Amino acid sequence: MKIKSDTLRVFKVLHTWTGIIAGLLLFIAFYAGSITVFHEEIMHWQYADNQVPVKEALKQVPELTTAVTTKDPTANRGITVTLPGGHAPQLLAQWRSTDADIRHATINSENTLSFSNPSSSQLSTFIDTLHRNAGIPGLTGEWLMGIAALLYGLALISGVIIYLPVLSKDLFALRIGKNLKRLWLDVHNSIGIFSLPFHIIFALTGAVMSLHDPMLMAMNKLIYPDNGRTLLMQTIFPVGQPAAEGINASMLPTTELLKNIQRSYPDFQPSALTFIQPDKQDGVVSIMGDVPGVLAHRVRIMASSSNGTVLATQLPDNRPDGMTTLSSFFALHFADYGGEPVKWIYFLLGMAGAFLFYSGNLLWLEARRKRRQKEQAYSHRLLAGLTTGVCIGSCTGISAVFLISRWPEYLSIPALPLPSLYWCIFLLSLAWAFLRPPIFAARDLLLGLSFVTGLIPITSLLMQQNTGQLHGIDILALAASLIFIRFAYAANKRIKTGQENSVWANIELTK
Amino acid sequence: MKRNINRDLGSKAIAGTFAGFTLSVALCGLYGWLGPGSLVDKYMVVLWLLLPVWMAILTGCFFFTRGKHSWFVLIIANLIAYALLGSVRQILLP
Repeated sequence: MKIKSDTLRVFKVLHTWTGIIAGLLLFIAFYAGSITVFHEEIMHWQYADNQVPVKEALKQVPELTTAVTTKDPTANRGITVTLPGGHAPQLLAQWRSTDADIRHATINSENTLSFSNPSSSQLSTFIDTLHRNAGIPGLTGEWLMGIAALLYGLALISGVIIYLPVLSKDLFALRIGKNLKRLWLDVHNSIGIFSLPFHIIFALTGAVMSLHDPMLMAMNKLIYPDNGRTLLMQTIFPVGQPAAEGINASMLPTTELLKNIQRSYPDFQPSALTFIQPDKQDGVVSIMGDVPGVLAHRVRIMASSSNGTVLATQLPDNRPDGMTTLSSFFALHFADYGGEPVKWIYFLLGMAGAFLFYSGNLLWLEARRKRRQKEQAYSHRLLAGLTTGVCIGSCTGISAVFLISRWPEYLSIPALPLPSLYWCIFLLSLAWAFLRPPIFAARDLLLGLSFVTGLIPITSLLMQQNTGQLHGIDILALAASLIFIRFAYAANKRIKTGQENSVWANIELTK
Repeated sequence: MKRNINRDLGSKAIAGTFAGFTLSVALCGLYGWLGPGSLVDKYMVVLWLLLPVWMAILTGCFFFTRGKHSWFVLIIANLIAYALLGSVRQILLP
């Protein structure tokens, strides 16, 4: 395909800058995102066998909702109870209080209530949150990630446009030889082009998931100024809101409710229930759940909370196109539509994606290297430090929270705040990347990463002395630790034998 | 020469980001009002269409030779699209 060389140059600039700006955030999103594919396994790993069985948890639902609505009556407007299994080992209630903050409540197997937010000690929730906001709390983090996803979309489009003219020539090329930059570029290109459909899905779903609030605001202002809110409410809640001042009635036990629903829909597996005015006769419960065998497997059934009559369903054969679209995109993003094989494919493609952003930064540095002098531009030093510090630092932070997350349960001490630990490790790594010459920092940080990751299976063995069995996650950590030490070895080799005229040179030696 | 290209790049990027966004909202809005199916059913589809359309318009801006051209085309397109959207809404509003 022929494209004007000026246009091509414009897209090269665009690809470079979108990549440089968004690349580091996207690295964290992809690395943590690949791990969060296995969030259920992580939850089981963290809590060993201490999660509440769903059957038992269902019996506790009325108790939990009553406790919550007694403490905070605003919860009657809508309280979502998530069943154990996704991220949490027990029932989790969430509701929006008057100040618009989301409140949390949990109930454990001994019926002990807790009104603190459990997410800072739940490993799988922490990794998932990190994936969504790079550790920056509140809307700032989510919107920042959304903008990164948009830039990622632009980087994909411009990357493909740059690559089109050489596509037929370079598609299967992997020039392994003296020219390292050529090899890195070939690897970067082939990963990019072969996983393109995967990346398109993530650029789109990631951006919409992070930015839907401002987007809906723009839609309601510009497209539907008269009826936007109504349309949104009808989409989210098709049966109409029950009134706050109705006749009081006790809610049907949740086990009864589900038995009633599964009589008509035997395949339906609930995952979360949202109660609206649960203490009223015309209260409504909206049950999110799954049906097996379809891509758009996230479905919803709405019923009366006082007598269990089904009011509306959004099932594969009778739901609006918008809902099918939504459910399909969610499935494509969350990798939970095809069992273990799909999860592994997503895990590997996600890790390859993280590598894509990392290699993009290295290519930028290599392309601008001054080949005839030792002195390199300060901006190169900055990017080299940021790339090693942010990438290896976030990996080490994640390994550290994995390492520490199981100890409170084992030692019977209070839960540890995982976000603080992550930030400590991350910032220390970043500082190290700027205190040391880049290549030394890379080696040191990789050694540290390998060490922390390697400790995960070792402590797991210590904790389960009697069984001596390793969980899949421990085996994966062991493999990762070996890979990281191989990287550290490569960095060490670079210190000894690499090019002198580079930002990665052994500065101490050449001085 | 190179400076010139870069300056136009900024102009095109800003045109595509802002005027491109409003245009994509209007185009998706026209689908939301005129496309097949009920208004409620299309509401979520419009949400998912918005970003791909925006990114396509933004990319399109970089194919213009001058930044001015992209502004000119986008402003005209915005005016037409919003005039259409406004009248369609007046006619179809339940």
